[in-house]
Amino acid sequence: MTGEAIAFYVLAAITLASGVVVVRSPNIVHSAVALIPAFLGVTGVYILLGAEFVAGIQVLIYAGAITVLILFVIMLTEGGTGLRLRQVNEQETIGAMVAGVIAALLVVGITRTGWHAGMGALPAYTPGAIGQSFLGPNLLVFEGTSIVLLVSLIGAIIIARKEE
Amino acid sequence: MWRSSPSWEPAWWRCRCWSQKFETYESGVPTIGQAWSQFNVRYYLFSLVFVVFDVEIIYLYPWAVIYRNQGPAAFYDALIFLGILALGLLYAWRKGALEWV
Amino acid sequence: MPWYLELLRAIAGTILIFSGVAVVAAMFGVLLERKISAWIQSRLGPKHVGPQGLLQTIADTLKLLQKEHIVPRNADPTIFASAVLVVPLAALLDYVVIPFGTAGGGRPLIFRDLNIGVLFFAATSALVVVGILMAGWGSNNKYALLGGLRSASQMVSYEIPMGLALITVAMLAGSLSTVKIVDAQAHWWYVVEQPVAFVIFLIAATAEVNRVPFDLVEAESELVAGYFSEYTGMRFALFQLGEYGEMFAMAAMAVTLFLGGWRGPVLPPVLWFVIKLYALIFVFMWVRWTLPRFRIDQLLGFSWKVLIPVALANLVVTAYVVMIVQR
Repeated sequence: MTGEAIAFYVLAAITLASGVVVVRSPNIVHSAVALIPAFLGVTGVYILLGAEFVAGIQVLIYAGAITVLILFVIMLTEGGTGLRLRQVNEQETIGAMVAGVIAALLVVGITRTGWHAGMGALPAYTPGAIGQSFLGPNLLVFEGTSIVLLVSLIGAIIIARKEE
Repeated sequence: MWRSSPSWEPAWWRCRCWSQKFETYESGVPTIGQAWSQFNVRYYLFSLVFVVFDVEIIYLYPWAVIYRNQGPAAFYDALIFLGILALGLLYAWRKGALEWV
Repeated sequence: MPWYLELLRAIAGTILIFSGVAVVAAMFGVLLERKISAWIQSRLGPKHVGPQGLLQTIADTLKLLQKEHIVPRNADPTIFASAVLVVPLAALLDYVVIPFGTAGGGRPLIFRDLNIGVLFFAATSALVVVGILMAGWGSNNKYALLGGLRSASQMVSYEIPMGLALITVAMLAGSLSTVKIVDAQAHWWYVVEQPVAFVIFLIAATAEVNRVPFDLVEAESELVAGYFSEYTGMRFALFQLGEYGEMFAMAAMAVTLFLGGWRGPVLPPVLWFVIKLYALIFVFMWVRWTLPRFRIDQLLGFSWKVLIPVALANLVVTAYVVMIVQR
């Protein structure tokens, strides 16, 4: 096994194990905190793929910002008060079955596909290359993102105000 | 994390485990209830506005790296991007989402 | 050697070096803080352990090492214990991308010159917030939880102006790599071209490391020690290490981005870097012992209603000037 493969399996194990904790933990804050190693494991996979910029985004946005947001949301809701109670999911069996079927489908799909050997160089995921694509072919995506962000901000404020 | 000391431990060791030591610190007053309680919505509002602006900043990094080699179009593209988000900041400001009430 | 092994090696090297150099730097930082605060308040400060009290922090650390770990009965043991790892580790990872000087032949002295250097710095320092929130929540202590929540909302608010200041510099240098940013300052330090971004960065850095005037997190008169009130012994020391490590990292980043990094005449580059670093550290300490504390609404309002609009305007104006100059 190459070093890259070993690194991949270690990262995958970290991600999956924390994913199981996220789903299975009786304590909702433990679930939220277990997201961090899961996100960092995915970050490692991005680094293995040579997408350092995406890895940076993953840490900054997901591990840094989204986790904080989730923790605040938990503390905002009643979930923060009854933490000693066990959280029960009544659809556990159905959920596990659906997850199992999807995983099996993915495995079959990926192993059965005849992958073509790639031609030419890998696409560059450097910040510069991404910037070029923002100003070139993906300009509309770049500008559209700001509108999506604006809409999500307005929506969130309206919903939060209603809760008050 | 209370643990009862086995009898073979010397007396001076045993008395390290008295139960008051594992009380939550509240300036010497016995603790009432849990600290875990429902918190105000304002924390959530700030973190939400933060996530939106954090994503905005992420989109600006690639733009900033190549800006010097680009023509004036790059400036106006970013101006539109920032303008729309400034509207968002203005909206949050006017709606009082940035107030610590 | 494949690059990912190199990256692993760089991270391992950083952590190793940190068990030596940076811990010493943080310990020296604590001593410096006590001496400077004493000087500002016309006291003597620590004086008895070693010559002029130089060994005071070592004595304190040895004492803390011997103290037992106490986990409060009501705390959440898992989160309580894991928070201790997150805060110092996130602070130490910042140092991977800081160029300390030049080695032989003009090669930069840096653990790893990542092409996303500045973004890496922003990302790792963002992880500190999660650690602080975990410590506050895991303690199940009212002081600690309030401190952690305040800290998180404060740190996330000041991450935005800091990010905008970083982008302004990255735009001028045309790169996110810290080495290239230092190279780009061969003629002018960016503090000359970007005084506004420099001031914004310094203010945001002070808030990010929770120091006065932004120290609501551990306002000792109201919140005991804030999010680490319940920690004892070595765990307490690890939080202190994280805090001072983060402060040194912020100052080092400010030197790299705005004060020309290791550049300077006559003296060797590493020495220049250290001089500039400690000058900034002195400013942090000077501010801490001179200014009163903000109120939380003022603090958040200052970030969102003053710093962020100013930083945005600064970015747009800088971009405009760059465009005009290039024509």
